Amino acid sequence: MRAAAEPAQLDRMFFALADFHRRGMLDRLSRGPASVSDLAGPLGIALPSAVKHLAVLERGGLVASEKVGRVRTYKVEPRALDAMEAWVARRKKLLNAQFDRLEAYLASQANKSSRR
Amino acid sequence: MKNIPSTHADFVIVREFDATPEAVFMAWADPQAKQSWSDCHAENTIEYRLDFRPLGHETHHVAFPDGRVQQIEKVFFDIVAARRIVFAYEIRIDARLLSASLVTVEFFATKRGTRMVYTEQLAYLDGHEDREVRMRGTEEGLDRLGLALLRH
Repeated sequence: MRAAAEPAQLDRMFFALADFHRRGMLDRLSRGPASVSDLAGPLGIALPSAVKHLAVLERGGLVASEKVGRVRTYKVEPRALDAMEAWVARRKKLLNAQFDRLEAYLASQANKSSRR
Repeated sequence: MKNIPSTHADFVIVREFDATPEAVFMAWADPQAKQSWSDCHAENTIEYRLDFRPLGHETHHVAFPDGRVQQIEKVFFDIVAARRIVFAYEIRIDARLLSASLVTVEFFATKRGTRMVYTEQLAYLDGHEDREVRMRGTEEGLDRLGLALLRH
């Protein structure tokens, strides 16, 4: 598996996510590629502002763009949305939640025996 | 149907517990204890069985409210009390095999109690074209970032 992201890259990623409009753009892009105007319209923001937000998302490694003719199209960075990684992330999350409950269970057992 | 190659991943989860390796091992071995912390007690479970011995199976079927059915089938290979459990498991959603894994869980005595090391080696099989998984990608990505944040 890919190594964990560098701290500086994580900073850029979190900065990119720390904005309502940029999260809205990611949400829209998760349904498929889109142009700047596709993305700006629903959010009610001006095109130059949308371009700035997209540059931040791109630096954060969350989106990739490609210029075809005069139109630049944005899409979610495929590696960030890899199906297997999403699956592994979900498995890990479920396992950690179970191990939290295991910890609570073990603590409750320890309480029981100390009260005896 | 396009033949999409399998992909592979491995990951390790390390947890520390204020309990002896014997107590942590028993929480995996005893069906009642296991049900108190694992997902098998959760709502929507329609079938659960645990036969904790080498080549014994653990079966867990879940019917989600949206109609999907998830089947988890596990086979234990190596069981060494208070030390190690080795098992393999597969996950099917609507009978489609999404992943098959080999898992080694080891228990090490520490000053605090037990360090549990869970190592999973996973083959991801028929989920690559799963549009639904892709659609949920952003949400998962955000979850993953949340987890990354917690660990930094």
